[in-house]
Amino acid sequence: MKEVFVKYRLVLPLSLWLLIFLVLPYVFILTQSFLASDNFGQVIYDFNIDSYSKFFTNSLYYTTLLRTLFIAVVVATTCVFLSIPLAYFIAFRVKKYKTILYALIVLPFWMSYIVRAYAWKIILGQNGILNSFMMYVGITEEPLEFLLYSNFSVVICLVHIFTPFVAIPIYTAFEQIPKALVEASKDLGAGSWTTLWKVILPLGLPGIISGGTFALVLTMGDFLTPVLLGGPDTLFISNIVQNLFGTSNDKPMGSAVGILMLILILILLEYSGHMERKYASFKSKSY
Amino acid sequence: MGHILELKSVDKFYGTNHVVKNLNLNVFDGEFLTILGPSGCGKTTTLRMIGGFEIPSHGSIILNDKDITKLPPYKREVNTVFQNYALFPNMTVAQNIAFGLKQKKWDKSRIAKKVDEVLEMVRMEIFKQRKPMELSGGQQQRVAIARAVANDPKILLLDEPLGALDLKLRKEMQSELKTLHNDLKKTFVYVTHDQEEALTMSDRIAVMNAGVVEQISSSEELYYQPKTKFIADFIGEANVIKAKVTTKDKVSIGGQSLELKMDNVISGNEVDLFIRPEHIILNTSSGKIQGKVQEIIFVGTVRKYKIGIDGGITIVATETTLKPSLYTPDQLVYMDWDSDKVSVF
Amino acid sequence: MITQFKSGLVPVAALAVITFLYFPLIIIVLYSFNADSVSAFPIQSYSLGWYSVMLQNDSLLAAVKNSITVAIVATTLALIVGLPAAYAMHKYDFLGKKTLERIVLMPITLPGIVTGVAMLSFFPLVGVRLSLTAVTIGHITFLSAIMITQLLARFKQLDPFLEQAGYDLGARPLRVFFVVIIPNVKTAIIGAVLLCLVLSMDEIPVTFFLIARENTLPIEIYGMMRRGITPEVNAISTLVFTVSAIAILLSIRLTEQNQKIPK
Ligand SMILES: Nc1ncnc2c1ncn2[C@@H]1O[C@H](COP(=O)(O)OP(=O)(O)OP(=O)(O)O)[C@@H](O)[C@H]1O
Ligand SMILES: [Mg+2]
Repeated sequence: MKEVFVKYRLVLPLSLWLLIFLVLPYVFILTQSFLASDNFGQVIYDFNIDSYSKFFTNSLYYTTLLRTLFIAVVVATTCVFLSIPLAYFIAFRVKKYKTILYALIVLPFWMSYIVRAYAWKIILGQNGILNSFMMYVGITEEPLEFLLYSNFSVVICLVHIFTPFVAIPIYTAFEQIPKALVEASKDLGAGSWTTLWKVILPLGLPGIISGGTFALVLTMGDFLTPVLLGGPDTLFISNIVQNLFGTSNDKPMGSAVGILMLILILILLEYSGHMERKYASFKSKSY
Repeated sequence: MGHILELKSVDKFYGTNHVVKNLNLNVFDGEFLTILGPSGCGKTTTLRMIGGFEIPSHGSIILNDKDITKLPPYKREVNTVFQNYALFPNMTVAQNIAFGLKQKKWDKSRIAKKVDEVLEMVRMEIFKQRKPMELSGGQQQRVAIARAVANDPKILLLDEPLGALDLKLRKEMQSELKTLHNDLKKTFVYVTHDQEEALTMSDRIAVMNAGVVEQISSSEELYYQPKTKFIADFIGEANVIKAKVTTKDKVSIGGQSLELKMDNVISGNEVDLFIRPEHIILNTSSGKIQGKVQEIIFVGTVRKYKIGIDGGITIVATETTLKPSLYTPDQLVYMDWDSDKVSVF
Repeated sequence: MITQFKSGLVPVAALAVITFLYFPLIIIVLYSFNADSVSAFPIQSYSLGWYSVMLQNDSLLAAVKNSITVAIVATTLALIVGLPAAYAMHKYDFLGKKTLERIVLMPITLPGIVTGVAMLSFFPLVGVRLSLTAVTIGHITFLSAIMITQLLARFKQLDPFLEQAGYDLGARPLRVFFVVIIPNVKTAIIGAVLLCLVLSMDEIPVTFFLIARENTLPIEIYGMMRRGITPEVNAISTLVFTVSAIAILLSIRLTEQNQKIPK
């Protein structure tokens, strides 16, 4: 049979498409990161590693990266803390309405990013809903200013957006824990806390790692929330990339920062994948 | 009856795993041939090579004098009843059965007639408009058979078609399949790892072990004249007794000497004697060897004696329960048998 | 059991998290009916005023139209490119399959901004100028990734013997594909298409860098937000929520149905 050719014919369009519109662009910015740019932002074909050395010597770059990482860790941790009780509840406490509750966490997963950021803007704004509510019921006299355009608003918005990304893998991991194990633990005299701590969390660890990594990586790549809700000092590494390709118009530098981001994220993903496998107790589906 | 299908020196490798080894198999027109063997021995692989789902690494497959070794399944005049039925869930029973006929571009009325005919044959007429999901396992099984038979294949291939059914339904379907075979007068190649199923249904059985066909013969021949130790062990209950060759045509079993015709054995060697429990005749006065009754077990139609002899050997003999037992535990008994009932490996 | 959770603790915590997830969405819907132009508590009076303002905002409507066009074109092409590829990736082993699997996942796992700037830098070199066309090409690229992961998951659940039964009964590969495979993954295809439409309508990181003058809806909303708070965003957002919620719930349902494979 000519099946040999059939299979290549089936994947050829996709392969070509991805080569031209995905792989080559990545290869191109990798190349571009080793080039220079003149005063007009024009890329000059002059091979050098200046962009990379600038990244590690100019504190603007590496401190921003560190700050982004820090906020990403805060966001990821918060998401995990919110997701655990939610996932635990749906996996172990409900039977009848499981599908509905599950749909309830999947739904916001796909809900418009920009509109959710917008919602936090009108909630946290100086004349926003939260401030006017607190003044209305008399908790505060003056509107609180730190609510919006601060690290606070950025973190709360990102936590809100990424919690479903974290809750879903954790729930999937919890759901795979045989109910008999939980019962066995209780049968052996362990209370609910002990069972949670000694049985459920260790067995659900791969899901927790996977979810946490999602939030970490997604926060690192975010550039809109800091622009929309952040203060003057809330700048993510992605915003630097955005500026270098926009107003600052230094594409080689922008490419270098992008490539470094990419490398960092790939290392994170690789490491977390490794940890997931290490702590996997069940042969699990991919999340 | 001539050969309808021939497998000539067929080998199949998966990577370096040699799954089917130099297989030679002739299938007679109209027979019910069963491929029997333990799990993983290569039965399915063999059947899939006949069906066209796998291509042999070496060798050839001849159907009606035509080499079909490399022909794709849709060009072969054989049809398969899949173990999990593989009914198309999106089609009704009738549509499932019509599927193959449509590929042959039959006209509508002819298809409709044929569908009704095969449905009647498997007694599923009333389920014509149901979807497979709305049928029980046994009913799905019938539809799967009807769908394959409708195409009037030269050979019907069945891979453990009853594997998913419970014991009672299995027995029922076994006799139905046998009846179907008699009515259709078609060649069936049937795969199973259930020896009882194979023994009751087949005209001939090919026993496979680790990729090799060790014996092809009728049920009875297989049972009473196994060609290899594996088959002796695998089919039914049998005594396999260790013995030592002392001189030509003499062996020793736990110190007792016994005459035995053997070819090509060297004295000092160990051999295995094979004999069915029902072929051992118990006796208090004389016999080939002597032992002590250890245990008597009543198992319905037969009574089972476990008889110990020196050297830690236990031999099982059975007697019909129509007569009362003449022996009691700890009694010394003689065991006798017809010489031609013993095989030596 | 002494250390039993106080029976209410877990449900309360879970409920609190769900409230947190839905609170902003509810706010948007509520305030889209606010008559006032300031989004403050409490709402004094309700009206559909912002909906009619929205309907008069030409650039917003144009953005909606652009988004719908991009979503439909990109999803269709992602399906055309993705479906055969997913099928081949499921069914065959071929040279470079592992590489292809990794590359397909790139637009999902790697940050959108890097993909965005990479495309921004490279597209002009192959003659694709920044425009809605560039945006559509960008969308096809990441949607084909979504399409393939969704379809592969469904193909994996498909009984492999169905296909073989098709061949066994005399149907050729192309026929088997259309008569046996497609009808049995139909729901997954519809589900994946809905998902792709929703994702395309909401995509920002890649779109942001490839867009020229004509905006898509999220970029238009982004622009409006930067200019200040305009409550008509509440109105359009409520509509977007409603439509995407319906699409997503439908998609979830369809994907669930897939799992009911006959015994
Ligand atoms: N596609 C495959 N790739 C690699 N090895 C395979 C493949 N299919 C079967 N095998 C191996 O070939 C051997 C024979 O398999 P086969 O399915 O023919 O056994 P079988 O006799 O039908 O067993 P069972 O009674 O369990 O169905 C097994 O060891 C199996 O692991
Ligand atoms: Mg098998």
